Amino acid sequence: MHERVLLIEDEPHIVEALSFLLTREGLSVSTHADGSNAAETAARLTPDLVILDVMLPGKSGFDILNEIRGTEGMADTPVLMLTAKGQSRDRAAAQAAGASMFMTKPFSNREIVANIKALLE
Amino acid sequence: MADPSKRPTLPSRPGRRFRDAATLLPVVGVALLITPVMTVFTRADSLFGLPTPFVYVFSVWGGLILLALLLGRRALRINVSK
Amino acid sequence: MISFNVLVSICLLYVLGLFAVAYAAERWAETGRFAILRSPLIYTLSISVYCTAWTFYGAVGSAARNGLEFVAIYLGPTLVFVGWWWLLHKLVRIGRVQRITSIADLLSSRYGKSGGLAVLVTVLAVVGTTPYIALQLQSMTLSFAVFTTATGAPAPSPTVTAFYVAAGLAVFTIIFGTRNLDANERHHGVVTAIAVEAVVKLAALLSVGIFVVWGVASGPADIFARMDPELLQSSQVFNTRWLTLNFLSACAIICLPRMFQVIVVENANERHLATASWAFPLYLFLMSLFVLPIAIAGQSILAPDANPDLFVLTVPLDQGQQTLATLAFLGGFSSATSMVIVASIALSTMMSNHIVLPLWLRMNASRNPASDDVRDLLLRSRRLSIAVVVALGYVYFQFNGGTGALASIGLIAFLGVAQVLPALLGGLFWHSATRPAAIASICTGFFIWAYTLFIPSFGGAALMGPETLQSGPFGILWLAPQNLLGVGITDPLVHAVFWSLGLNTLVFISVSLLTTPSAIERLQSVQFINVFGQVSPRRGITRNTTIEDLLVLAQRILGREEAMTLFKAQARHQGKDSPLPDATNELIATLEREIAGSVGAAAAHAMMAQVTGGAEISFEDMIAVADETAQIMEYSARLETQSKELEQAAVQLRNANAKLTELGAQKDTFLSQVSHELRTPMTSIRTFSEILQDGDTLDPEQLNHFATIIHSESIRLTRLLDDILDLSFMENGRVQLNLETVPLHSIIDRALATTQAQANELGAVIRRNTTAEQVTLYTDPDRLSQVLINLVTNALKHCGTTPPEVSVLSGLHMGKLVITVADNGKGISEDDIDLIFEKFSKLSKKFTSGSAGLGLPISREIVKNLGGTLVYAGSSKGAVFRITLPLQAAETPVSA
Repeated sequence: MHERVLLIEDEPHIVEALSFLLTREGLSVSTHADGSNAAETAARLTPDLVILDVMLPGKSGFDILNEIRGTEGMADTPVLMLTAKGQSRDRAAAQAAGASMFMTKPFSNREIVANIKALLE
Repeated sequence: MADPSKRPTLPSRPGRRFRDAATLLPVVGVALLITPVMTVFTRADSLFGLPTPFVYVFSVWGGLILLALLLGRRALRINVSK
Repeated sequence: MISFNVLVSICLLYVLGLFAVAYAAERWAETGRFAILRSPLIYTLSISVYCTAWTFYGAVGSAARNGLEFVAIYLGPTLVFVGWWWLLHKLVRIGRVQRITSIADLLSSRYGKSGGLAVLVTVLAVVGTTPYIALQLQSMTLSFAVFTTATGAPAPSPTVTAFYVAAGLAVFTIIFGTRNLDANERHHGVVTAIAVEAVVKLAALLSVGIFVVWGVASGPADIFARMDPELLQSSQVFNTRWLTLNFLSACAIICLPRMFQVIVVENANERHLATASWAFPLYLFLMSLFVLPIAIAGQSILAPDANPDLFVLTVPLDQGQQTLATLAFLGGFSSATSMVIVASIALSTMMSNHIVLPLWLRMNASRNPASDDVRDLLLRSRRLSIAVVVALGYVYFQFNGGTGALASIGLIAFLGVAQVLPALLGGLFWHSATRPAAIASICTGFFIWAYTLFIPSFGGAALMGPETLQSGPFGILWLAPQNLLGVGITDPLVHAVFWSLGLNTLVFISVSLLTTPSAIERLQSVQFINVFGQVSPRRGITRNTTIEDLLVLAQRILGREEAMTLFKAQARHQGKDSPLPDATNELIATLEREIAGSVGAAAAHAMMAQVTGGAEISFEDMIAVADETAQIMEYSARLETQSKELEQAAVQLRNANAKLTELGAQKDTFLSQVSHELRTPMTSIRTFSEILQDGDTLDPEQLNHFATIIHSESIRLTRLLDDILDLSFMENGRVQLNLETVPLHSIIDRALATTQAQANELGAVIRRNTTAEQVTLYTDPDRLSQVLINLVTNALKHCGTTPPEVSVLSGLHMGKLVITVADNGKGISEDDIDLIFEKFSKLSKKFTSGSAGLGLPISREIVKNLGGTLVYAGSSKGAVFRITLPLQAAETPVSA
């Protein structure tokens, strides 16, 4: 059974790129492009891993993460956070919010795939 | 005014002598000119053809001036006005 | 024979010469050449103002009547000068240190700055001097008369002569005596003129004397051989009158206002006194040397009824010596004029300082006297006082001129002013002397002097009848003016000297012992009596300042308790057991600081200087202190303003800082946002490039798709950077505008042409009103069309209605061009209205593709630079943006 990844990201090209990469690695990718009701989507899908952008229209990635962590059964789901701002305070905020990992855009394909695999194991 | 550094700490001997002389001079003048002392010296009626009182008064007067001149010069030299 | 007119001309020329000398001296003084003016010689010669017309003419007269008696008038001063070490030195030092302006000032200063005492002494001085001035006027008119009689020429009456002489002297004195208000009351011009006159006096008398001894007679022995042997009997020279005259003249040289003026006030250097100590007696010696020979000659060659008082003139005239007589006349003239000039200056100083000024201050107590005010007042009152003094002399001459009363006034005046002597000497040498004693003694002496000598001198013509003179008031014999208590002193002068000065001194001593000096008197007595102890008037030389003096001062200023506390603390600090510390410099400095807290620094310093040996506070100092206080007040007011300004500046700085902080924060946010906006396309580019690098598994279609993405994201990146730069330039007002006059429709044409493709794609309807567009305006067409493109594009993209309807309408409103871009969508929610013009506004995510939210901020900046405004004028029908532009774009771009 393929591990399922939920990608919450609003930039269509980045969604496309990550979907291509992860599919190629044999993962099943679902996407969600909006901040609002992203947590509901996650609760519905109960993915094995969530990739979450920090800057989303409608709702901040941190808020979504909180909601995910509050969802039953998802407290321990690995969450990889992505940000384009790349500031240390975002990293700290992400860790405080319970992110499993934090990566800055732009990222290396090899690195993000390796990280995702590591998080899934 | 006076420069304190140049002020002698003790009155020097010449200074004290000057002081005594300057103090004494008018006393001598008073004694010779406005006391009965002068009648002692003017008993003779004339001296060198001049009236004795005239000669006496003017001689003493001149003498006082001369001494005052010497003392005054000295005063300037030893700077007693300080 | 010299005619009266020639004589008058000579006098006028002589006076003009004096004017020139005085003027030159003033100029020299102004240019700082004091050395010439302030030689000991000039000082000595100016002291010769002692020799007035009374002595110039009168000495010969006295010699003709009483033999050597006249010498006493010169011997007294000689002894005082030869003994300068005793008194004059101290007087001059005090005068300099305490900045004394007159003898009245000296006494009032010594006795606790007593105003009453100063007035008393001033009145005494005026009463004593007025007859003396009259005497000078009389001698001048007499000498004129001698020439007139001799030539037989018509001459004006003595009254007229005296009037012109008095008026001329007043004018001369006013011109050179009150030219300026020197703090030291020194008059270079007058003093130099007086010195010149002194030389003329001496030369005149010596010339006449030499002529008499070697011209008329054949030598000293010959002239004395002609002497009446009765005139000079050795046994008669010394008697009480001789003693009295010596004593009186010695007093006069100190107490006469004019002598005090030249000896003390005009003294520029104490060292000059050392020279004057022998030079002035020498001058007097030379002045007297030929007096007796001239008297003898007059008696032997002139008619027995000739006035001996005028022998100096009449002997040369009788011998046909016109030039010599004229010189003698000038000598007498010099004697008279110099006396009147100096006396009136001295009196005017006293009158204005001690009477006019205090009165004025009292009358203007409510007003704050500015120093200029006082200065003008002083000068005016000095001038007026001089005129008044000379006028008084003239009036006195009018009433008593020609009577024998005037001839004896010289010695009477001497005794009058001598009444201040006990108070003066007591003040200089006796710590216990008090102000009440000084006042009482002077009043007593003055009264007795007037009663026993001055009023009787009128010979029963005024105030007292002859019978009162004879047998006392109301027949009380023991009160007879010239024989008080029947002591039987026959000489009225000796009688008056005995009683007036005797009682004066008695009263002075008794009252001093009965009263205690006030604190300030004690302070001043230390200042005066120990004037030589204070080596330097500077602060710091405090060795003879007693700690008690300091305590008195401190208690007066700080209050008893505080002063004691301070002193005890200082004593502990010095490690002493007693409550009183030593008067160290440190203590004085501390004390001055403490006092400065109460009365201000200047006043404190003046007070401390007073106690510790500095200068006494003169009136000028007080004015300076007042000025300084005013300046301090002004300064503190200025400081207050400054601190207010500083406060405002601080507020402004705080605001600026807040603004800067805010700007800094904005910049951080902006940079963060820029970073985010740049990283997003870069992420796509990198990811897809790496996928392409992986290569092999991709089919050509995918390959092409990914390459297209990379390409479009690159373009997006470039455009983003362009926008940021553009905005940055706009905001800084550094944008280059290419202004030209263009029709509005052409700009709208161009904008709509650019958006045509997008509109077509969406099937949008674009409406415009071409007739209203027939307006030309002066603007940058490229920039304006950029704005329109942005607005239309936004409208097409975000209105959310299908098909979009966008209207671009224009019109004129209040002389301005108004362009509205409206769509038929939902409009912008109220929450977002504030954000739409923000850079990278959060709305930007809704504007999915495109300019990262910089379009509206850029558009607004462009319109601003074109001199107009861009606002969101949202309506219920949809989003409406309104551009308002002047038809003439602003000449200079409006900076952001």
